[in-house]
Amino acid sequence: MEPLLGADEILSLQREVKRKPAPGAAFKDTVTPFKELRFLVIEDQEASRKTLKMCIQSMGGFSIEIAVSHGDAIFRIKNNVPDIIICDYILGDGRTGQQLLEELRHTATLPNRVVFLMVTAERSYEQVVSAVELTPDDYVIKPFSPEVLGLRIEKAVQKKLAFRTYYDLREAHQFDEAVQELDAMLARDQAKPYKYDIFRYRAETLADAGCTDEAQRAYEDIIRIHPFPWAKAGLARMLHRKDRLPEARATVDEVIAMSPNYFEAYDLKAAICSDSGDYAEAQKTLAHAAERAPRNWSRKRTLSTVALHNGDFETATAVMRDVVVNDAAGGASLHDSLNMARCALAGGDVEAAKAAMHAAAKTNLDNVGDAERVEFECVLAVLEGAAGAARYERICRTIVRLSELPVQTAVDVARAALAFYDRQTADRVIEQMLGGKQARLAFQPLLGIYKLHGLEEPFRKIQNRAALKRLHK
Amino acid sequence: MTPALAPPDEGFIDVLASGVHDTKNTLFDALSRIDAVRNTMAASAAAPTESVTLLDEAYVAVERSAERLAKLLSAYRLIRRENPVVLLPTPLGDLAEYVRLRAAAEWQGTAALVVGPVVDDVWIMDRELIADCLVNALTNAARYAGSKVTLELRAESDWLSITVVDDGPGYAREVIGGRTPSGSIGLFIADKVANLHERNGQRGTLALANGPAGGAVFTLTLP
Repeated sequence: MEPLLGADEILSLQREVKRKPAPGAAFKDTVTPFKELRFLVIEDQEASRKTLKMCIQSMGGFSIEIAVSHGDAIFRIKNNVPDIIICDYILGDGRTGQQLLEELRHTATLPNRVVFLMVTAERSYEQVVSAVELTPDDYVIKPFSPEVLGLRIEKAVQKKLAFRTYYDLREAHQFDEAVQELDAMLARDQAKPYKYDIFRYRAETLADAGCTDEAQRAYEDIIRIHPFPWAKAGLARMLHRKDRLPEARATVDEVIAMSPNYFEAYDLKAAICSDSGDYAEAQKTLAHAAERAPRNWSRKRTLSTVALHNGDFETATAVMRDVVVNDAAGGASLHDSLNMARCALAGGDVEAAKAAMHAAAKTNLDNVGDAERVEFECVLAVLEGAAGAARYERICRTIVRLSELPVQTAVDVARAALAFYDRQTADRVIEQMLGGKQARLAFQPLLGIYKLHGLEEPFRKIQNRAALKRLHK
Repeated sequence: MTPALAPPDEGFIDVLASGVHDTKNTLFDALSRIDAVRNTMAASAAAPTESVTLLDEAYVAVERSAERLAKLLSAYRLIRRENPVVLLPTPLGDLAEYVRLRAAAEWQGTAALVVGPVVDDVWIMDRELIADCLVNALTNAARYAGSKVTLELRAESDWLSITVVDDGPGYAREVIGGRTPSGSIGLFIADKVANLHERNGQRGTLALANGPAGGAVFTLTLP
């Protein structure tokens, strides 16, 4: 097979490779860059693993590591970041390569310089690629020849090289310079094949830089060329950020209608609905996505919280139990245990709530932030009954120090304050929440707590007062 | 140029598709069994050469039949819109290279494959479906071409024109007349695929014609 890259690119790639720590494969003089690169093949089927390995070897690849599952892949990538990842879409155990890619990108485990190539027999995966915001560098449809795989890798490597300055700037959070680099690329003839990537990176970088108006315009410009679902989702995200919730919701609804398999759009819709105070729709949206991608535990955690705020403690409990049983190797986290306790409390199951708090107390509480400490102490105090009064009083000193409470913290404080007949603190917290930016988000769960104590009327009075204040701002 | 083929009556298709689907799966199953026997025989020094050759031929025959049925199913899905196009920005240079590689792997005959002018641009299209159509058109052309088959990609205002030209005897009259000849699944799919490419209210087309010197000219035009 002929060398797949030009001489300049080979030199450039070799410089890139040499900059990195020793990867195991020696940096000898080579005729083909593939010999210099470290490959990671992620595939759960042995026969396909062998085929892929033979393909890479036939292209001159030498250093090939194998991962047989989602977890194995994450472990290997964290230990030794490869240059090229070739990942099968179906990873077994209900996991997909797309989920792995999203997890790697969300946790910043995958540097931009690494090529991620998806291999799939599913034509339906193309629908996913055309929609989602986090895409692989390319994909190959099975069956394919080693030459086709080689071509895809070569093109992906060329693209990585073309964007390397931009990647460095973006990773260094030098957003202005990153956008300037993209603008400069757009003027270069060599960058012509990448013009849509440039448009997309530009919008994303502006969004990362907090330039919401400019990012919104950039997404609108892209949509005018073609209504890519990811661009519409980007636009919905910017509208959400600007608190233009009805428009954001209409836009994300269009995305879901266009791409029903684009699950991140469901997460975005749920966030928009929650911020609008529409927990019922948020729960419905997340439940739909969770049913179709049952191993996305992060989404299920959100679903449980949203269901709890929506007053559906049965669903909240069932989902949280699923999370704790299936995604808590090494014991439940403080966050999960607290959520379990809240669900049990809402359902009136005090023993289950105590068991969950027992698990919470076993986690490392030394490094938790003030808000999480307040949540822990307040839930525990309520469960201790009269004996918890002293604990509640102690934590009140921290509560007054916190200027803006997260919604969940405010709910835990209000619950504890009312349990210990401290109406003053409870009323102060709800007035603060209903008068602030998180009013719509906080309204329903706080009302639920007041209703439990037969205090809906005073709640409504505070609500009116807070609304008046917001109007006069 | 004459517009391409009219679709067949869709009323029959659901029943046929179900039968085609089952038969295709049975053939792929048979293929894996033949392959297993082939591997066993290849490992055995005692296997008679004639049997090995016959088994190789049976393998190819079953593979061809299974692939043909798979193509029929693709056509069915396109009609039923179960498999709508996936529009992604595709650099045209990459597309030409991808198509060339795939066509070369299936090339039959002695004609040369020439990749002619390819406009340096990116087009929003379904890369895989368009590549399938072009590989099919190129390998088909190779069977009839005299000395060469040419692939060209040109941009004309808001349209991309992809042409496969050969120097063979050209299309039969009924093909360019717009009637569905037997064995034209590839052309039928290409016509559907082109038509499913829609942008700003404009749809793609397939046109079949014979060139001034007589060779076949297959042109996909995409908005």
